[in-house]
Amino acid sequence: MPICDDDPFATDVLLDPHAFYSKVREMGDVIWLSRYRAYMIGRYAPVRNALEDWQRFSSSAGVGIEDFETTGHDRSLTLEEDPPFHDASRAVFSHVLSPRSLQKLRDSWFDTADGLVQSALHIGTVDAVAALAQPLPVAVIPQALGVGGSGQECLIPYADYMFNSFGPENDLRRASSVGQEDRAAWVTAQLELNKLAESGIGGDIWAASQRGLVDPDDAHLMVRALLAAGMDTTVHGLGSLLYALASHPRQWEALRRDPALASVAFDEAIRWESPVHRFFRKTREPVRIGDVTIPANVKVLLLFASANRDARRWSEPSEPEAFDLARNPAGHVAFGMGIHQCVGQHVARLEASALLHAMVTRVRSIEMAGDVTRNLNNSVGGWASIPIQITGC
Amino acid sequence: MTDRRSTAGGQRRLLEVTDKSTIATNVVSLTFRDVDGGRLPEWTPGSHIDLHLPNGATRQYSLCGNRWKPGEYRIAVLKEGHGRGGSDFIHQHVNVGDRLAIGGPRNNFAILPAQHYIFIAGGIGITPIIPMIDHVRRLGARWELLYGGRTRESMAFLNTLQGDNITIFAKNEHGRMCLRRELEKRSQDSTRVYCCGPAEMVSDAAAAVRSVGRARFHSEHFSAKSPPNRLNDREFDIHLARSGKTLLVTAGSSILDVARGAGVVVLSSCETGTCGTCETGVLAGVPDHRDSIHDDPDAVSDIMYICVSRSQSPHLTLDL
Repeated sequence: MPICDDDPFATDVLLDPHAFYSKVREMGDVIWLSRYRAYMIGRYAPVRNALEDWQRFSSSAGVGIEDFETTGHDRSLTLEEDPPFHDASRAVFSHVLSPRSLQKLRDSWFDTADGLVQSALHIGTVDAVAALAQPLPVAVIPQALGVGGSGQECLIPYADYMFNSFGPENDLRRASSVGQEDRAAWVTAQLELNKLAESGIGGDIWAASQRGLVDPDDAHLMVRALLAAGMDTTVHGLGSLLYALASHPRQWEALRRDPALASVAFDEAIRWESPVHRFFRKTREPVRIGDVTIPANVKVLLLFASANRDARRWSEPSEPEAFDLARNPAGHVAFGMGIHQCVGQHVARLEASALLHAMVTRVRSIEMAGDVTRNLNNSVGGWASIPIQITGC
Repeated sequence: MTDRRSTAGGQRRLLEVTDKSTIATNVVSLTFRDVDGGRLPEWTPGSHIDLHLPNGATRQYSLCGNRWKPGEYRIAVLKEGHGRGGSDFIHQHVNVGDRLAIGGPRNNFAILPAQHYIFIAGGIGITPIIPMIDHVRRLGARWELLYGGRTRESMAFLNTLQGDNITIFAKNEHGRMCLRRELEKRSQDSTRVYCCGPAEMVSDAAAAVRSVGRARFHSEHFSAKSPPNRLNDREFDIHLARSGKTLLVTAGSSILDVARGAGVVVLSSCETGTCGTCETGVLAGVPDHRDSIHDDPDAVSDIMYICVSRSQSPHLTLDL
């Protein structure tokens, strides 16, 4: 079995993750990650199979590097539970975040995105992260969850730490933990019942708990989970989309000519550069993949962002490194796959479609205006800064 | 269940019968796997599949196997003996190695959180209860089973059901169980009662739960509710948002018929409001739910079953 002595959480790897992923894919289906005494999978087919196979690749020991069954750490709701414990909260999430339930938010989100695009056009040269990718989720997600008031900006570093904490106890994780107690206290204060608006998604979750569909104690945890899971991931997804369009002028032109391509643009962008780069699973029994048998009770690192660039799966109509609106991105694992597949995916798509609609309506050209800077995190990838120049129609 | 043929293609997959065994008098168990040996679509306790039989009949059967075996579905089929072509056909003509088209799975009988469960099964109604018991065992919830049948020999899965919390009522030994008395002894405020069996038993159980006054009741019907009085049906407009059509549903026609008549492809199966195949999103307007699927149809406003349900409002906008 191939052995990898590198640290997938080292800064130089996070600065250039695709070079690392490419090396991992060439090594084989399953790789021994010596530094962490864990296994690692980077090719599309085995990553997808492992994601679907919840029976053998369990989430309930945590989806980070830490084995909660050894450390006794608390699991997070839904994400880090297997059936049957996973089912009740998942069913409520699926219902309150279904396309039908989100329809009531559509108009106001389109207006918000339109306002942000107009403001960016006034300035001309902007950081696409600070001007568009970040303010949209910050404006719409807490509000939709019924978390009003001010201070929502702290949700970005709050979630950044949460995603770092799936990785090892490295400098990155330590640095992002500074101030986390205050941010967590802000979130807890917002979640006091009287602040959950009755009409929002938070209110829907509360109503479901009153009907006995989930434990009332879990209702708060569910809203808290959405506040963490729906921020940085979407910021990075929208960032990928904007960076992809700014750096692929022909694709931007194709989208302007045929706005219907917007329906694939976001999914192709997150295939190309996936917000969630990696999560772990734990084997419940020995699993044979090719000529390697992964033993029972070990952690396995699944590289989503690598699987989404595997040429074994993504060679048509162009090589996987290309952002290509002619590609059918169905089957990408940016949202995961199987029973844990991102339950907020329709939320992310609605935000993306609001942003794309405003862009296609108002923007004539979008071009790079400088070098991008990566956002370093143990499990989510993306950019801290994307300088672009946009001009109006 | 009905004898109507499934009228649309929809999502079906071809499964192979890998086991057929008699597990009680007039009850066979069938096990299926994907012809390519892959994972089958996920299901949860209470789910059923549609079995499309070569004789043209489509039947719904509850899944009674093990979710931890992702390549397998298992059902148990009672030979109903009035020759309507479904169960008789399965008993006589379906064999190991045969390939059948399957629709679903769908779940109209999902198990919801509770501290304490009472399961009530009548005869072949035990099938959805089997995976429910496994589910609540794993959750560590308290549960009891009341399982009635004609004779012990006629009751499937009896050998796997043993324990102080399981009460078996074989009619030839004990007479019929008195549901009211049993529920009075067992019900608590946090109890959910899940009941599956013949229509008469389900309505008795519902009445017993009501009169005891504690516990919440959930049931799955084998057959449709009595049809509503159609004399009061009024006409209304439907707007089909995705196809951009506006159509009139007259008092004598169903939404399903009208949409189909206008060339819109809709999958349906039982056409009696029992199976859930024709579930359709409601974007605007107030549906008049006529289905037997939801315990509390008034709690549901964003989906409807268009084979039987109508509209309370003059206009209804549907996601079709």
